Amino acid sequence: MSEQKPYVIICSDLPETMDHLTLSLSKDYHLFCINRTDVLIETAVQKKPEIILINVIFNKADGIACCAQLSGNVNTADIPVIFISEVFDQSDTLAAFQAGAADFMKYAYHEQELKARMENHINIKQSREKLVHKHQELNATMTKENERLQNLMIATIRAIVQTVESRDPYTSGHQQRVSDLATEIAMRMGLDHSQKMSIKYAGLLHDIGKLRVPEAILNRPGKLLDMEFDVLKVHPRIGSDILETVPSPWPLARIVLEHHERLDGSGYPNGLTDNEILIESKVLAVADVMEAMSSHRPYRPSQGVDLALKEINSQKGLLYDTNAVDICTQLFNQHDYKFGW
Amino acid sequence: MTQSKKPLLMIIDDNQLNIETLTDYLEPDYAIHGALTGPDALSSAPEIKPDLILLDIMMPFMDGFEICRKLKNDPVTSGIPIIFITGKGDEADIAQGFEMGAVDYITKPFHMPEIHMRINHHLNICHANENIKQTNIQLERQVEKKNADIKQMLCAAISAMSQMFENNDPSTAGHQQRVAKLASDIAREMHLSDDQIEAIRIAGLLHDIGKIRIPDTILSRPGPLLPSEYELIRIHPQVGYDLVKHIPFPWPVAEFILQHHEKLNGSGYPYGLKRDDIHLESKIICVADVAEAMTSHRPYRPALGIDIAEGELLKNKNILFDPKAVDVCMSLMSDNNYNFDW
Repeated sequence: MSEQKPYVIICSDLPETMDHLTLSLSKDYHLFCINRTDVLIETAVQKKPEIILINVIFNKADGIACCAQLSGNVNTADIPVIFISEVFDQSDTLAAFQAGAADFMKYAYHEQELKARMENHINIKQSREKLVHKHQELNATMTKENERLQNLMIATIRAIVQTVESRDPYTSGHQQRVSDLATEIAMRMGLDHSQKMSIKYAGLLHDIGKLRVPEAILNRPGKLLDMEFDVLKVHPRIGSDILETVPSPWPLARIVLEHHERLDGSGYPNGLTDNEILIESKVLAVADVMEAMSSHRPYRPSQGVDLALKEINSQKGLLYDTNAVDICTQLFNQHDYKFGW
Repeated sequence: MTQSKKPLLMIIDDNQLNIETLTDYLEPDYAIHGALTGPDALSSAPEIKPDLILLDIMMPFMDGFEICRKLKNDPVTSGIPIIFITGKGDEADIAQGFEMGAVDYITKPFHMPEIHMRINHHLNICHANENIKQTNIQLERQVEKKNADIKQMLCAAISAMSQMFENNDPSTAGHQQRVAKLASDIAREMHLSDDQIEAIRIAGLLHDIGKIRIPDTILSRPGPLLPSEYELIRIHPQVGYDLVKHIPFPWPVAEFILQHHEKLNGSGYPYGLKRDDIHLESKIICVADVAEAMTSHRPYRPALGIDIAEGELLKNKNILFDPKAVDVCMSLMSDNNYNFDW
């Protein structure tokens, strides 16, 4: 028995028996004695005893009904009930067990037996509680670990984004704006939560492979030479290689790899066509082109949202996903979408 | 203990008639296995793993208490609930039965429906407990897996950041890896804890990440830099700190990076910290950084060689560099074939 005496409720309709039980049990248990069954549930809910003893001589049916109530109540169902009654016949005993009693014994004055039975049921209850407690702890740990992993992943993504930004602030602002627009398009297309998250984070990371591209090519004003353009084209592959090592519930590496693929197979690096490209990648492609054309760059001024919309609409269904283009167009024309800065 | 199958009861009683009586009544709901003697019961129980055992007490050769003790001592059978069912109804016997770990004790006169209810009660408890136990085992595995995922995530964060830097600055490709290797070797020789060694390895892998902010033209420039160019290079510990500080490493990796160019006499940067104000981890990385840089080839100069590196370290030992780290580093490198690669 631990520091504190276990709580026990004794419900008895016979004062002599109550006195006897009190005398024999009060040394080892903290007793709550009641002589009416109608307050038993209330007392049990309040005191949360380890065990309940019901000793009914005159009100057998009440006692059994009360036990049924205790087992039917979520707050008291786990508390073992022992019936003690000299006057129970076989059908009473059966009824008691059917009402959810844990045990029955005949004589209240069999002190040694009573204590042995009480200890037994208290032990059973407590080992069950230990299991339940452990279960709750494990659940809490799981929640915490999930959060930790989630935070860690986001911190990693942020750190990667920030690293790119350190070198090339234009790319970083671009990634943020593309991510925002693509997520908005995805939402209005009715894509599921996981797809939206994929698009959001892949958007934030889609150009990290540009780290490998020399600044002289990256920020060059005017048209690039073919060979320079070939160098620029490595960036989806490099980005995807970097992301491949980051465990995530979303196909970030694949989306980054595919964000320059086009429906008709004219994109890079693999010249994939429509069905081979993830919808996430197609949405990202539309947002990428929109943002790139409508933003100012060190090497050229903004071409404006209207020209960008004209470009994606003229290539709708050819290079760019029709649905994504329509929704993007609606966003700008009807919902007054603006890029954040 | 599958739910679709009937629960299996083992009845241990020397009287065949008792077993039959119980079997007749219980058979519709339970599968029954009878055993007439203790040895018989003890040999079959671990194999058939009954869901519950009904145990008589007064038996020849080995009584029920003895059987109970043996069942409870065997880890294979200790979890099986045991109900004594016996004519031996003294209070002392009942108390002993419970003390030995029985979950119930049924005495004469036997009333079959009541026996049935008592068995059922304990089977239900057992079944519920078993379910929680199984779920807990699964949860424990999941927690372990999550922990592994988190470790992997940290590794991935490091390798992604490190890769990004190498992609950007191939001229020093491999420098961070080699510094990480040398610094953690020095730490090991200095008998630092495994934890510290790991932290040093990680900080080593990322110590120059802040150079990503420095233009290629300055970073890979052959020949001496102009003072203002050199000033620019000195931002890299602070930039590295800012990049790494939000990744929740179990160690202050960002601070180790921040301080890797601080020197004992306060002549370092960015803060001019002195001796005890500098993390030991940073002092070790600092020594490894100098040793590696001087012995490695650079696009703008060939390797300077071990002798010059050692001369530099020795000359400034205890002035710029931690003396212990210098000694250990020199003894590692004087091995001549010190291998920077992993």
